[in-house]
Formats: sequence, structure tokens, C-alpha cells
Amino acid sequence: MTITPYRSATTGKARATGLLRAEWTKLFSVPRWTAALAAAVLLTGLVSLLSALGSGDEQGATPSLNPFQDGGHYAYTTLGGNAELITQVTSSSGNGVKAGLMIRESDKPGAAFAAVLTDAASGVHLLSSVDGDLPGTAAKAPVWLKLSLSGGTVTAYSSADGTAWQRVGTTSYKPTTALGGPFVAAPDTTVVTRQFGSESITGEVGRGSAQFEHLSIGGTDPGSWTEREPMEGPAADPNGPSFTQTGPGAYSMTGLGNLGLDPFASDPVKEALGGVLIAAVTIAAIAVVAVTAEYRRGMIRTSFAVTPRRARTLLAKAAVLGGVAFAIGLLAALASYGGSGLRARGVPDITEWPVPRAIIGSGLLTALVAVYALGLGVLLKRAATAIAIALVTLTVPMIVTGGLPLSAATWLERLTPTAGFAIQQAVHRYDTAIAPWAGLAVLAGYAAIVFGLALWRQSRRDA
Amino acid sequence: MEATIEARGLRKRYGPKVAVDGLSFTVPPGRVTGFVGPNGAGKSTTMRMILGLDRADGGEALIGGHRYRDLRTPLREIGAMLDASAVHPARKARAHLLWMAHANGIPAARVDTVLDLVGLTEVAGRPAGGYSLGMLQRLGIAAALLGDPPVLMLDEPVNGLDPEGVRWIRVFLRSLAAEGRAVLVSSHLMSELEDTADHLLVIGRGRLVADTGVRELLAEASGGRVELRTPQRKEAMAALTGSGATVAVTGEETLVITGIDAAGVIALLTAEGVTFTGVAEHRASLEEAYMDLTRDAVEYHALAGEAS
Amino acid sequence: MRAAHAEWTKLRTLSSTAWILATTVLGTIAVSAATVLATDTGHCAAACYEDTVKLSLGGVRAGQAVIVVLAVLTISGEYATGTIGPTLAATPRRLPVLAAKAAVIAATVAVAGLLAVAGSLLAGRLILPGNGFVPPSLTDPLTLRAGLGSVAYLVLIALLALGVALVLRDTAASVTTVYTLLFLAPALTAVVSDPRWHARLEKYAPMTAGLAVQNTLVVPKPLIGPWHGLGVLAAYSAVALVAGGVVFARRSRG
Repeated sequence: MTITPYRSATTGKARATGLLRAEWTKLFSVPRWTAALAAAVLLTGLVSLLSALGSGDEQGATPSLNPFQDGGHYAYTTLGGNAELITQVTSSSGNGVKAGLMIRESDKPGAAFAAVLTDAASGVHLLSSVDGDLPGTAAKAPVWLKLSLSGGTVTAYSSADGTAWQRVGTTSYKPTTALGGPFVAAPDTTVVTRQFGSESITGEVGRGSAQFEHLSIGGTDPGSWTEREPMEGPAADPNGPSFTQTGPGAYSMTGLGNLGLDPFASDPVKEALGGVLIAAVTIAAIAVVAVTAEYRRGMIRTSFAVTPRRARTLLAKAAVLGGVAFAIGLLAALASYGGSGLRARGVPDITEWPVPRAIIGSGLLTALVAVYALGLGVLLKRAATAIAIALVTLTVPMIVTGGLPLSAATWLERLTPTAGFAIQQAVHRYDTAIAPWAGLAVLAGYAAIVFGLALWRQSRRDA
Repeated sequence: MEATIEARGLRKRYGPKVAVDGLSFTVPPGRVTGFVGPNGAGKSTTMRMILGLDRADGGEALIGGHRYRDLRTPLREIGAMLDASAVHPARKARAHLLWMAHANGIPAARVDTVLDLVGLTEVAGRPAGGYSLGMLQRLGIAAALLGDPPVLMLDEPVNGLDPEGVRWIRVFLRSLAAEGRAVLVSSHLMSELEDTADHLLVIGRGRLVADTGVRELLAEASGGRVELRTPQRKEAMAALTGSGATVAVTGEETLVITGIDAAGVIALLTAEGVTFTGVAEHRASLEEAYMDLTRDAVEYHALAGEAS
Repeated sequence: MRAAHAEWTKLRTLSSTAWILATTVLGTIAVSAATVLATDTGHCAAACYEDTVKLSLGGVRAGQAVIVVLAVLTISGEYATGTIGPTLAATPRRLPVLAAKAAVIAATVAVAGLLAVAGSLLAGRLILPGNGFVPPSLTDPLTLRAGLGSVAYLVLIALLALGVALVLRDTAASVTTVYTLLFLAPALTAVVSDPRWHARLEKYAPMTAGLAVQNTLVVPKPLIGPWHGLGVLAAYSAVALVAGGVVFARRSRG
């Protein structure tokens, strides 16, 4: 008897898209996983909504991404359109004292401004409520400073002799009104005590004074200056802010408090996106279970029998989980941002780069968390252990750093996977542990190492 | 591609324990090959090595001449069922087959075809967690058939099935073999394969004990013995021993003869004028033959263990 | 009583129990020691007012993460492996089964917690003097309150996890839920700027409230008192256990 061997009548071709569709089908054919993913987005939005509605924020200006301390002392005259302010700061005294020229929208605290100054510690800077702190030359008093307002743009210059000017920087100035004049400010000395999750900030108000000469607006000293209203404290304080003329075009000024970026301001974007942590934790759990469930039920054998090239199977799983996680993180971030929009003070505009960076970054962050958790699941095979490790490493600052001094806490936030959440920062604070992209890179490093080990283990061990 | 499974000197050890010890065999197309041995004999390990799931410590297994790991669309070359309960309980049968189809680029329509083939169409939309063992076995067979492969390999497919399910699988496997497919079916019970397999691979302690046809195995176990029933026992014994046969008395009127076949016995007794009421080839059961074989294997290893 | 003995046998013979408990004790002591090591008087301008007892017990925050896994596995493990069938066949009345399970877990965690807390306080006593602190007295009533309170805290966390696992029956879902409840509340508190909500979250989140029992420094206006805080956590555990009990008693298949 001769036997005709059977030939498969089906068609079939191995394609990467097929692997992706297979993993997609696996992920979305377990109803409780789909439900958990949807719940993560909803819960994230809900948390930000609740915190927005419950927030007792008073009405006011939309929180800035360059939160400034608007202290110090200044004198001004109203500028009628374009103007050029010049002075020579001949000397200054005080710890970290800053002296220079400022153009501002009004005399109200927190008004938009642009200023050129010389800092006893670090030289000439252009400070702006739009662009933050732009460092210039290292020149210190005595130094000539020039601030020129022209058609919505402020340009700052410094000079050693008042004739050869060097450009420090440019910033935009949108307000239609402009006050201009000299200012003196000094940073506060602060002590941050961190004890068990609560931080207390104590300190003394900074004090500094400076001598101005050749003070002119459009070439002449206007003569009549208006001083800023004292901000607080007894007005009769003999050591309080003062502004006195010492000669033609020459003045002496003392100021209290700092003009500069506020290291203690809250981060409106990070606060708005705080709920994304819920999405990240859910995704981590699902990424772990998506693979440990296969191990527990022996399904991993089916998977590797269907696609013997294990690395591809695992990569496809990571790609699908990562892609879904990215979408979930992005949606959660958008929902949070939208929910926080209901805050009385609003949230920073989405056109400011740190905002979309934080939102898109939340998606990337969640995707990396998924890959990291998936790798842990492959390596450990047990859901409980893998989830415990994934979640503890992601929330470690909340678990242990409460009791640690700031320096130790900062290092933990730099070196553990939780560093990835730095991508949500939009404001640089005194306790900022790591820059946004650097933090995300740390998490990416963990994800790469863990997933790499998983790939390596996977190809070697018996399924 | 040749529709075969070929094992060449397969070896696998787990720590100090040798699970599979130099196993070589070929599963040819067109027949059902039974893969039998006691529990722990190395059947499942061998099957996992064939599927590239466990790394062989020596030797290789080829599917139609290719190593499993080199197959790009393995479901179209070999359909396997190792553990029917390895399905996520929350996943519906259709989704379980669908992801497998996607992974091998098999058209999704094929999923409905195989569901229909194993009779699961009506329950395909229900989570697999609620399936009975029989339904899970059918789902496993559907998965094995998804790529319409020329080679099938099923680990204990009738384990835990009701008699009707057992009959269904038997008929189904024979029809698949009749189409020209190579079918390898494992079992730890020889009786389960008695009416299914054409050929048997018997293993014990990780070694091949027999690679033989079911008919040949039975003939050998029967050993050419003839059963004789006669009222004239003494006369018959005298006549038979006289012509060189060995005769054993097994009852008042029954004898078992070795050395002369049934036709020879009839001719001799007729010539001698001894009356008899029945002559039959002695038929050993498959179970009996298998017990003999595996007992040998166990003894062999016990001796080898002492020697070393 | 027989049910409790059966539950104890099951827990004792589970291979994972031993190393989970060892991880709890050693992990707690290690994190406590690390916390104490990282704290010195260098960051204090003048006198240093650190709660040395609370510092020494810092590892309890990490130890609870392991306790959660232990408690969840005793329930979800039975469902995953199908042991729940024989368990209920052996003791058909369900509430005694639940009571026995809870009692056995609570006792086990209490013993492990006691070891972990004692080890942590000892580590603190050894390390703190080197960092310029006066080590806490172990017989001081406030130290005892913080130490025993931490043990009670761990027991309550275990019962909370037990209740959640009874409701959800799934390892992954239960661990994630309990961790979310414990660790995410403080994380979200950190980004809530509004002081009223900040205070509320800190007051009623199970971890921050429960750990108030570790405070030994007299603070002018504490958010929540030590026993009140433990009470808040106990309320969470009670709710979880009751919910778990109701679901467990009503469910048809185990």
C-alpha cells in the first residue's frame, strides 16, 4: 500500500503583524483585563476631578510654570511705549544680593516682568516671567546694565564702561502697560526640614542694598520715582526697604526678599497629572498577569509551540502591552489635565512645552512601566512576587522616603524606577531629584535591563 | 515536506535523573502510531522536546526533516495537544483559537471550520473556564487541527473522557490517518490504543522498548501457541509429543501446544484418529504483551543500576 | 478550634510561607537600619528633633508590603489551586473557616511582626548613637506604644488584605488593590496642594493614619492621634473582612 502524505490545505505566512494581532487578541479576550484598563483611565480622571473640585484655590492668575518670588524693592516711572533704561550698579552688599533694572506690568505682586540684574554670586542675568532665568556674562558690580523695550520685546545688555554693550538675552513682553526702574532683592535664607513626609520650611528674609549711578530712562533721569508699597512688616522699620537719592542720577536702595524663581512653588502640572500613577499601577499589574497567567496554566507551552521563536513572541507581547499602556497613560493624562482644568485657578496652557511634554511623557512612562513589569513577570513567573516588586519599586518614595533626610530621599528618587515620574515635572523645585528626560531614561534603563534579562532567560529555559 | 516525526538519539536529564535516554524512532504518514509507556516513562518529555519546548541534552527531533525551532508557521506543519486544560479560563474558545491563527497567519475563517469539526460551535462564545474536560479535549484537538497540518501529536487525548468521547476520538484519529497524516498518540494505558493504533512505540524508563506493529506485537506475545480442547487428553499428548511438540496441560480437557501450528495440530490429530472439540491460536491481549515488555525494561534497568 | 488547626497546618506546610515570613522580618529590620543609617544630625541647624523611635521603625512601611502578599496568597492560592473545595468539604460551615483563617494569619503575623519590630528597635539602638542621637529607651511607655502599635498595624494590614482577597479571589487583583489603598493614597496626597484635602487624605488614608501610632514626639496639633489612627485602619480592615465574609458565605462554588 502506498501512502500519499497529507498536505496542509490552509494558507499561512509568518508575519510580525500576525504576532502583534495574536498578542492583541490574547490581551483583549480576558474581559477583566479590559475592564481594569478602562477603570484605570476613569479612576485617574476621577481623582483629578475630585481634587480639582475639592481644592480651595482662590481665584487668581493661572499658575505659572516659572513661579517667581516677587520680593525685593523697586522704584518706577510709567513708560510710554518703547524705552531704554540704563544704569551703573557701582556696588552692592548683602548675601546673594541682586541689583538691576526691571520693566513690569504693574505694581501688583506677581505681575509680568523682565529684568536685567547683576548677582553678587553669579554675574549678569536676564530674568523674565515668561522665560525664567537666562544667565549672561559673569560681570559683577561695578557693571553697566541696559534694558530696552521695543515692540513687545525686551533686550538686556551689560557693559564694563557704558559704551561697548554686550547682549545678555531677549525675552518677549506682552503687556500693554509698562513700569520701569531700578530694583534690589536678596534671596531668603531657608532651612528645609523634612520629617516623616512632612516638610517644614523656615528661614529669614533676605536683605541687600546697592548703589546705582547714571540711572536714566531714554537718556535722562526722570527725577520723580514711585516706590513699591512695602509688602509686609512694620512700615517704620528703620532697616526696611528704602530708596534715596545720593547725587544726580545716583541712588541708594535697600530691598527685602527675593526676586527670582521660587523653589518652593507647587508644580501645577505634576499635581494635575498625579492620578496617572493609578493608570501606571494598573498597567503594571496587567502586564505581570498577562505573562504569569500563561506560566501558571501551562499556556506558555502553547504560545511557544505556536511561535517557536520565543524572543519574537516576547517582543510582540511587549510591543502590544507597551502600545496599549502608552495609549492608556496618554488618555489618563489627558483626562487628568481636563479634570484639573476645572480648578478655580485653571492649569497652565497646553501650548507651553512642559505641559505636552508631561502629558506625552505620561504615556511613555506608562509604556515603560508595562515593559518593566512584563520583564519581572517573565523572570519571576509568580504574579504575587512580580507585582509586589513592580509596585514597591514604583512607589518606593511614598513607602520609605518619608523618614529619610532630603539628600537620601533625593537619591532614592533618582536611582529607582520611580525616577520616571520626573517627566511630569514642569517646575524646578528645591526637592527636584532629577531632570524630566533623565528621570524617564532611568526608568527606561530599568525596563531595558529587566526585559533584556527576561529575553535571555526565556530563550534558555525549558518552557 | 515529508509528513513525519523523526527522533534521533533524543536525551534529556533533569539533574541526576535521566528522563529520556537515547530515543530514536520515526512516525510515518498514513497511520496512527501509539506512544505508550507507564507514567513517568518520558512520553511527555519526548513530546516537549519534539516541540522545541524543552531543550534536548542530546540528539534531535525533526518534523518533516526540520527542527521545530526552524519552522516559521509550525501550526501548518504539526498540530499538537499537550495539556488540554492550558487555556485561560476567562477566554472564550473562539478567541483562544483566534490568537493562534493570527500568530501563524492562518485565515480567521479556519477557526470556525475547526470549531465545527470538533463540534464546539455552539459553545465557542463561552469562557473556557466553564468547559468540561471532554470539551477542553475537543478544544485542544481543534487547536491542533487549526493549521490543517500533515502531522498530529496528541498527549493522552482520551484521558478522562466518557466512553462516547473515547469512541469519537478513535474514529476521528483513524480518519485523519486515512487522509495521509502522521498521527502520534500517547497513552499510559495500552487498552486505550488497542482499537486506535496501527503501530506502537513502547517506552520504559526513557528508552525505546519496542517499535512494532500492533499485529506483530500480538503474534509475538502469542508466541505461536495453540490451544487444544479434547476429551482424549492422553492420546493427544502422546501423538503431539511424539512429533516433537511441547505440550502443557492447562485443564481437564485443555492443552497448550508449542512447536506445531494450528494446521499441523489438526492434520496430526486427524491422522492419529484422536477426537478434539476445538483448536485455536492462543491470542494474547495487547495489555499482556505490553506488561511483558515494560516489565523487561524495568528489570533491565534495575540490573544496569546494580552493575554500575 | 479544629478548623484553626487545619488552617495552621495548611499555612505551615505551604513552602512559600517560610520564606515570605523570613523576608518580612529581615526586610523590615534591613530597611529600618538603612533609614537610621541615612539619618544624621548634619541637616539640623541647631538641636535635632528627630523621632528616633519612628525612625527605627521605618522598615515597617516596607515589611507591610510582604505581609500583604502572605495574606493574599492564603486565600487566592486556595482558589487558584482548587484547594478551596476540600477546605469547604472538611468544614462546610463557612464562617468558622473564615474565622480560623483570620485567627491563624493574625497570630502568625503578630509573631513575625514582633520579631521584626524588636529587631528594628535594637538596630536603631545600635546605630543611632553613632549618628549623634540619643538612642530610644526600649522600656519607655511611648516606645512600647510605638513598637506594639506597629505589630498591631501589621496584623491589621494582614486582615485588610485577607478581606480584599476574599472579595476578589485573585492574587494579582488583590495585591494591586491593597497596594493602591496603602501606597497610592500617600502618593496622591503628595501632589494635592490644597491643605484641607491634604489633611483629610493623611487622616483617613489607611497607611498614614495607621502609622500615626509610631509617633513618640509630642506635636502641638497632630493630624490624628496614635490610637485614633490605628482605629481608622482597623475600620478599613473590619469593612474588608465583613465584605469578604458576606461574599464568601454567599458564593455558591467556594
